[in-house]
Amino acid sequence: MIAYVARRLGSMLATMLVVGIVVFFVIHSVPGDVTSALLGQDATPAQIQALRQRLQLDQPLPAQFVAWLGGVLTGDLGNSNYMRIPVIEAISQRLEPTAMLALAATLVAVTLGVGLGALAAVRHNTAADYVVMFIAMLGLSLPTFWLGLLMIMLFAVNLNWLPAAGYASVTQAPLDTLRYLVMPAASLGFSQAAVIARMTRASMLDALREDFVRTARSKGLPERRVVVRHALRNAMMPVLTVIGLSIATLAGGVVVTETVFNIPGAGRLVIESVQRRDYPVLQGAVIVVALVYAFINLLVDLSYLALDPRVRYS
Amino acid sequence: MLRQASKWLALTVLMVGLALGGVATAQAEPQYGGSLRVAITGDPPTLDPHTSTAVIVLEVTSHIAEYLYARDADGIVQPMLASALPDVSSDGLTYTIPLRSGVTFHDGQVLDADDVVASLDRWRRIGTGKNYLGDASIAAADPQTVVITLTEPVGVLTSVLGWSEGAAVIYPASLVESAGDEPIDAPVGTGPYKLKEWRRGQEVVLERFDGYASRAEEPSGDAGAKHAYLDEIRFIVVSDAATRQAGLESGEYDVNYRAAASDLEHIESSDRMYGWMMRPGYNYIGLINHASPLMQNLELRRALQAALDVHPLVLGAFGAEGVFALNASIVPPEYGAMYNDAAGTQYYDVADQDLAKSLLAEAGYDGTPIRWLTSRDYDYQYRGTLIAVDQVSQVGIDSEIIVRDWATTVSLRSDPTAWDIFIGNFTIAPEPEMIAYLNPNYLNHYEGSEEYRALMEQLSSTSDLAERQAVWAQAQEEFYEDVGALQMANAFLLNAYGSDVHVEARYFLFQAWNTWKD
Repeated sequence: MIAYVARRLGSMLATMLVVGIVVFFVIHSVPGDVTSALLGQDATPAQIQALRQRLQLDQPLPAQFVAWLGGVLTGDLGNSNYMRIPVIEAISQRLEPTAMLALAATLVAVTLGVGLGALAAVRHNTAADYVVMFIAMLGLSLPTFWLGLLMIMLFAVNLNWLPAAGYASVTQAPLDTLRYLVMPAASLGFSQAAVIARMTRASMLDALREDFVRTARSKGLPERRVVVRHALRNAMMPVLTVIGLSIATLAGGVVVTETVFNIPGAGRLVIESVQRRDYPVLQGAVIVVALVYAFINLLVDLSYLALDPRVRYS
Repeated sequence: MLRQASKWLALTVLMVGLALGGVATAQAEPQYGGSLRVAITGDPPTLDPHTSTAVIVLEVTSHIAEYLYARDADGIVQPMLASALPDVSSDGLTYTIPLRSGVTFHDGQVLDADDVVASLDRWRRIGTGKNYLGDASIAAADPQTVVITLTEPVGVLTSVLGWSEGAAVIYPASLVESAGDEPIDAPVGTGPYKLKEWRRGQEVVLERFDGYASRAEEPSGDAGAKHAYLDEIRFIVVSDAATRQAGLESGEYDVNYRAAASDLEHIESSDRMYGWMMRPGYNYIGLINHASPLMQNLELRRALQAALDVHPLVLGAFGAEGVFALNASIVPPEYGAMYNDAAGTQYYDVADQDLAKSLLAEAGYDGTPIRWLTSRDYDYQYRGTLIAVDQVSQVGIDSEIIVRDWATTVSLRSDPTAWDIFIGNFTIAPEPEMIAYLNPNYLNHYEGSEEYRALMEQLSSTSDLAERQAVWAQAQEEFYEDVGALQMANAFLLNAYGSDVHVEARYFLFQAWNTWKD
């Protein structure tokens, strides 16, 4: 297995290189640069040109690419042109809110999804099943940002139960972190919960029809144990794959959710960097996101080992 | 009779109650303390106005750093760090500026002439100052006096030294030396608030400067006394307009900086908040690219000018009355002296299709589409462009609409071959020489007729107000005749405040000094 992991890590490096090349040239093919955001709209073309020179944006693209790639290979992602701080620092400042939001949203998605999916399967073709499936359809249909805005109107503006926007660091005020994350995590996790619930239900229905479940029941095991220990565990393999994909999808949803709830995370940094044409930050952020995505995929693949003893990686 | 008396008594009690309540509100004593949470639209690119003309930069940094002069509520220049208006020599070349004594920077250094010399020199070197100071000599005559010796008269020098956009803020000489030409991210100034923390992309936190040396005059606009009632001001970056508004309503923020115009009615109908329309805001105009061969056809420009029906265009662009004012004068009325709603304004808002068609025929227009550059990132730009295109199409002018995201739009505007007209908001100033789109170096490349250039040259060397007004009147007439731009309206800026926030004196920019919370 160690050889397998080493191989995967090697291929991840190659993937990162390809991602880096693609993102560099795609970003630079879009018109515009950071100078207008820095100088303000009354800047004259001469001032803009002077700043472009200072930031070396007037250099030929291949030269800029070689300089950037050289830095990346030595672990230096460069400096933000807009914020004038190292890209690593800009991204690391924003990782905590994003990680907490993704974690909380995943918890919401998995808890709701697996719980409701299992319930729907066990209560197949009953009112509970129909209600769960209706909720799942609703979750799939509602845009995340719209659900977020509705929640803000209800829970923040009208009921004043929760803060409308913002974030508190978990290292400074953990309880406030929870208060700030309830709505964004719920709105972001809800749609993924729907996907997971549908997959759990289908997978559980298959498992409940299997011989080993019949055997477990005929042995006189309590129904709860049959469902949780035997059916659900065996149904989890495809569900786990969906959860892995959901986490990746959440990374996309985080961008919108962070904007709606004004969470100063990495997703918002990406949006801001696109708007400002802050190339170094954008390039660095895409590489970090791709790296996280690849790691999650690797972890999901490795987790099959724990769930199914028949799986072997060689 | 008794019932009649009771009615009068009740009415009298009610009137007295209302009067007392009104008086109580009007005379509410300012309170010290508290934190003002201002939801701003984006992270400032810098906290150094020498290096950026972005409005967000000056609105945040005006709390930290000050200039030699400042404008009062009537647009009149008043001393701020200077102790008096400059003594100008009879040839208009030498400005002797006396400084206030006892003014300290946030780091404890005492302001003197060396700080002013170093700051003005830097402002000239890397900021907008080069347009006015050129090769002037800037020197300290003594610790409390600065002398600027110009190579040619600059009529607006005092005005510029008190202008907030790309402001000539005064830093300690030591900071100027250590920063060089790089933007200053930790400014040290003489303002009523000092920088406490700047968490990039999240918030800028200012705290009261206890050593602030306030002027004694009554607060007025940007001038006069500045009372730092609040302990702290937090400029929190909230890019989404709906989130800023929801945060204000839920109590998360105290100020929604730049509320959406569409929220005006809702804000006005609520007792939890109130709106403040900052006038004059921006000039909403059709910027003409005079470097474009098509736009060099004067009769075509006149046809465009004649075809536009301004009110429906601007109303459609902004979606509500009350958030703009039609204005023929290039300098808006709020800026005082140079406002002129007569010169050349017979060409404003003509909306005469027959005239436009005959001008088009004179232009020999061959149907080449006019390229309107716009962005959907700002609705008022896009909608205004659509309406303008529709209006000019009715007189036979073809158009091509180039829609891009904002960053691309800004980039394309710098390319003189990429566009013909751009409709949007542009910053305005009290003096014509300070208005970007009247500057031939700006992206519209407008140089104007020979007579216009001569008038603008004369204006820039004239400091006598009456003479300046007369010269500018002729220049504005020329600008209109030559269709330098498609003048339309002033677009106001709406800020929404929680009802517990009180402001003593207001300016046309956001200020949180002279402001307190219940």
